[in-house]
Amino acid sequence: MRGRMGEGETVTALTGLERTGVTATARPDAGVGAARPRSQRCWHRGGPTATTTPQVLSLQPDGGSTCTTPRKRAGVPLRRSSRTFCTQHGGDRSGIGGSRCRDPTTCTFLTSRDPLDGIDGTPTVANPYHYVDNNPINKTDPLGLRPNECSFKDEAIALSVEDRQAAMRSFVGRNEAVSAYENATPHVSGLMAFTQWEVDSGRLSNTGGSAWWRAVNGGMMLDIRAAGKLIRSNGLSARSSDPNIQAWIDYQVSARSGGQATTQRALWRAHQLSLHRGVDCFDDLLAREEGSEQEFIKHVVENVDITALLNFPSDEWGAMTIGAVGKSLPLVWPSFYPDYGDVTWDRARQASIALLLPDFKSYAALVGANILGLDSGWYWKQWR
Amino acid sequence: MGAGRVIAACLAVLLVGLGFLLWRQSSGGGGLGSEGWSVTRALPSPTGSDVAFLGTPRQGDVLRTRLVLAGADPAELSPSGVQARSFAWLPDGESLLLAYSDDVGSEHPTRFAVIGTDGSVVRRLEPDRQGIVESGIAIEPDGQRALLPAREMSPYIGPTDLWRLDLSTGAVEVVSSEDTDGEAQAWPTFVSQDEVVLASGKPISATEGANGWIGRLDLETDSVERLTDEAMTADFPSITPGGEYVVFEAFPGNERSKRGLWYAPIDGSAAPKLLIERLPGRAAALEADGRSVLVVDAGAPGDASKIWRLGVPEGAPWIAG
Repeated sequence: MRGRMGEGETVTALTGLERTGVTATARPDAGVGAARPRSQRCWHRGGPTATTTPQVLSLQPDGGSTCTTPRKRAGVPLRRSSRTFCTQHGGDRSGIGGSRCRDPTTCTFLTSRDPLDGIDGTPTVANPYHYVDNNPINKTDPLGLRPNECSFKDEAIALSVEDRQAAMRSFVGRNEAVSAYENATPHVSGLMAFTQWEVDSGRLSNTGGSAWWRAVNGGMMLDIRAAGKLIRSNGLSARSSDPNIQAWIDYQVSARSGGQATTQRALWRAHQLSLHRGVDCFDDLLAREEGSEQEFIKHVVENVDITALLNFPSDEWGAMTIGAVGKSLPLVWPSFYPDYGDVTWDRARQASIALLLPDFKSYAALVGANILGLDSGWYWKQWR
Repeated sequence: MGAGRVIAACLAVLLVGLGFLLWRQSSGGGGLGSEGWSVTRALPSPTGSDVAFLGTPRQGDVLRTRLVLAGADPAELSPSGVQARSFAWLPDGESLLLAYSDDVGSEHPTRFAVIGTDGSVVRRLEPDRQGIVESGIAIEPDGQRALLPAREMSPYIGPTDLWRLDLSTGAVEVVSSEDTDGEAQAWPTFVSQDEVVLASGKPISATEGANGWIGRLDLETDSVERLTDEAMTADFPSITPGGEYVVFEAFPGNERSKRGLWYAPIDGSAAPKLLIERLPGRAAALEADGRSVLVVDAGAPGDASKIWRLGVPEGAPWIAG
C-alpha cells in the first residue's frame, strides 16, 4: 500500500466517466442555502423559562460540587452536560418517569438517593446523592438511574484536530501543575505519533474524515483533558469517579514515582480503558465504515490490546511493536483515508505476510492470540 | 505456557519485527522532499519553482505544526516556537502568508505574518479580530488581501465565517457569516477578484457523514452556486490555468474508497467528470501549469510522509484545448 507511485510518474486514467448530477443554487433561497439558524440552546435554571444561563458542575475532589457558568459554544452538538445537568426536566420538580428529583440550584439529587451503589474508592460511595458519578462532563443520566457512558459521542466527534493535539501536548507538557515532561514523553511519544498519523492519513479531520476514528480518539482526548484539568486544580491527589479519567491521573502519578515498567503499564491501562469505552460505544459508527476499514480497525484494536497486555513500550517504536506483536501481524497501514480501491485490506495484509514471512502462521500461533483463541474483548477486560 | 514457549515467542517476535522493519525500510523512498516530516498539506508556488507544506517533525516537538519548504533538506519557514495553522503562496512566488498561533490549542487566536522563502519575517500582521483559521487561505489576484475561513475561538469545530484580511494593515472584514445551515467552509481559491471557489459541508457527525460540496461564491452578491450535487462528497478545489475549470477530490455516494480527482466547469454548465480514478494520497493541489497535481501520502504511523506529483492526463480540456 505504500510507495506505489514514483516521482514524476503519470496517472493516465482519464476515464471520461460522467456524473449525472445537477447544479443547484445554494443561496440565497430558503433551501440548502438558507441562512444558518444559530443553534438554540435550552438552558434552564430553576425552571425552563426562568433564565438562559447555562451551568455546569465543577468537580471537587471531595465529591462536592459548585455551579459555574461556562462560555457558550456555537455550532457544537448540544453538550451532554448542558442537556441534562442543572436542568430541571419537564419544568417541574417531579423528575422524569418517576425517577429521581434533582435540585437545579445545588446541582444534586435531593429527594432520593441513587438506587445504584457508588464505586469503591470514590466519593460516590460516601455520597449516594451524586449525579452521574459526579462527572457531568462525560456522562448524562436522563432517567436518574444509571449514567450513560456513551453520551460523549457528539463532543468527541466535534473536538477539533488542533485541540486533540493540544490535549495531548498539555498532558505531557510542562504547563501541567506538575512537570512530568521528561518522564512522560518516552511513554507517550508513540501515542503522539499515532495521533498525528490519524490526522495525516485523513481519519481525523475538521471537515471530514472518519466518524469512528474521531469519536474514539475524541473520547480518549476528553478523558485526558479532564484528567489534566483535575490535576491542575488539585494536584496529583486529584480523584475522579470515572475510572478512565482516574486511570490517566494514575499514569501521571506513576510517571513521577513509578519505575519504567510500572509507568508503562499505567499508561496502557489508561489508554485501553479509553480506547475500549470508545470501541464499545461506537459500533454504529464502525458499521458506517467500509468493509476494509472495519477489518483494519478490528485488527488495530486487537494488536494494540496484545501490545498493551504484554506491556510493550509505547514509545516511538510503538507502531512497530504493534505491527509485530499482534495476532494479525504484520499490520498494513492504509496511509490515507480510505485507501483501498479494489484491494481489500485483508488481501493487502496477506500479500505483505507472504512477502515477509512465508511461515507466518506458526510464528503467529506462538505469539499468543491465535493459540489462546482470545478475542479483543477478553484483553481489554483485563484492564478493568 | 512453559518457559521455553515464552522464549520461542519472544524470539519469533524479534524475528518478525526485524523482518517487518527491513521490509518497511526497503519500501520507502521517493516523494518530493519531505524527509523527516509528517505532512498535512503541500502547496506548489505560483511560479512552480517551490513546494511548501504544513507538517510536524518526526523527532522532537512532534505536535507543533510548522511551515516547511520542501527539498532535499527541508527548511523550516515558520518562526521558532509558533504553531502554524495554514498558509498560502503570495503571487510573487517568493513569499507566503502564514497563519499561526502562539501555541497549540483553540485558546490561542490566529495571527498572521508574511514569510520569505528564506524564512525571514517580512512583516507581522496583527488582526483586529480574534478567531481560528485552520483550512486554506486564498490570496486575491492582485495580492492585496487574503480570503480565509475562520471560526470562533472554541475547541469544537463548527460553522465558519469568511474573513477578508488586508495584507498591509491586518484589518479584518467579515465577508460572509451567513454560512449555510451550520456548514464549514474551507479551501477557498480565487477565480477572479470577486469570485472564489470553495469547499463547504457540514462537519461530520454521528448522524450524518461528511457531505462536502464544491461551490462558486460571488463575493459581490454573497451568493453561492453549487458545482457538485449531493451524490458526491467533494473537497480540496483548485482552479485550472485560465480559470475555466475547478479540479477537486471527490467520491461518489458513500463509496469512500473510490476517492478520485474530478473536474467541473466553473460556470456550472456541465456535470463533474472523473479525471484520475484513484489517488495515492490526499489533499490534492493542482500546480500552476495545470499539468500535475500534488498529493500527500501519510505512510504508516511514525513514517515520514511523501508528497507525490502526479501527471494530469493529456486529455484534460485545459491541457488539450
